[in-house]
Amino acid sequence: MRFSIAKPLSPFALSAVMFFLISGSAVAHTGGGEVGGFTSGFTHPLFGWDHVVAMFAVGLWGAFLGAPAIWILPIVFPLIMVVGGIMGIAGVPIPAVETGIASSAIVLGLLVALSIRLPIALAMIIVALFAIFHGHAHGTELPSAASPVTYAAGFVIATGLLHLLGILFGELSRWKTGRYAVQAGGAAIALVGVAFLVGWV
Amino acid sequence: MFLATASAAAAHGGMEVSPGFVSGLWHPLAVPAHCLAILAIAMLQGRHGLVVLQFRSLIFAAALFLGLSATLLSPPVYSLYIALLSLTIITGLLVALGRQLPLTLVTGLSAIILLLVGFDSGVSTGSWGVTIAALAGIAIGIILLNAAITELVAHIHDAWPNWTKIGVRVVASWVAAIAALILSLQLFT
Repeated sequence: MRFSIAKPLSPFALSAVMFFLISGSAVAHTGGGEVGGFTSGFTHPLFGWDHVVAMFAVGLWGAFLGAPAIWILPIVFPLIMVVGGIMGIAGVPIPAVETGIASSAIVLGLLVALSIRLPIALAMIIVALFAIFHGHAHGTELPSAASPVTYAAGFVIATGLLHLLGILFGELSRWKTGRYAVQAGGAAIALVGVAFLVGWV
Repeated sequence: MFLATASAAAAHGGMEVSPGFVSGLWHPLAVPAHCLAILAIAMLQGRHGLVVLQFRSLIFAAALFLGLSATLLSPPVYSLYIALLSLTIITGLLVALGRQLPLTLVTGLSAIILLLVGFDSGVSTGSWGVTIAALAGIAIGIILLNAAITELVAHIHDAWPNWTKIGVRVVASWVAAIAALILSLQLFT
């Protein structure tokens, strides 16, 4: 990966950044439902610890595996999560969704804790499989949201940001001590998954 | 910066923006499906650098003008809205997968999407003057948003570190994912 010092943005591109930074006021004009929908969608993955640790683990494992997994896994996850989401919206049942979500934390946590390096294709399949469970859980609640469209945007973006947090923490694995911290993080994630699976939380 | 100022002014007033030019400017950000579509094509265009914004801008403006003009003659067509969402998903996926399309194809895809966005942006105000002002605002808002994101992405590809290019692909995957959810909500609920 090449790192270089970025050139400053032109005034026009800077305006684009500003445009998005303040775009919340534009959305506000469409009514409370839109903002409420986005907020509830954004916070939905954040208020479920089973979702949080699993999303974090995806980023963590991606960083642990290095390029190209570090960016492929966070791209694969939301795209496949949508498949699960669509199944949830359409009312297509998936057995043992909560078990699948808890298992995702256990499996992904253990993969990090035990420093298991799998081929990228296999890593994608594992992440994609678990993404369907997470997507289904979100999708089932989507049609009843105040504003389903902004709810969808909120939970996809929150999911991506959790991946990013995982990646940032996983970057510690570049150093020896940091590597132990990342592995310990993986073990903690697996334990949280076990706690959800057996019903302790 | 003009758009930013307009928003702040409206927000301080604590009032709904009445239909007209300024509300038209905000339209592309207020309609999630349109915002996603413009984001997707702008990211696709930006991968080719600022060359896309040269004479091709005229093609984009013409397609948008055609779509907006059609709203004066016909109400929105549901199947075209579905087509818009489908094309947004495809465009987002193309960016997320890092596919470098020929410039002609990028231009054609962008023009079709802008045509559909325009046609889906109908305004009903009861007054021809206000309607035309709102449509003009919508056109300028869409063109500015498209040009600004295209320049941002072109700048990222030209001058910023590699990880920012990956960031664009990740955002494109979010765009495709959100558009797919909106599409499924349309089809299944």
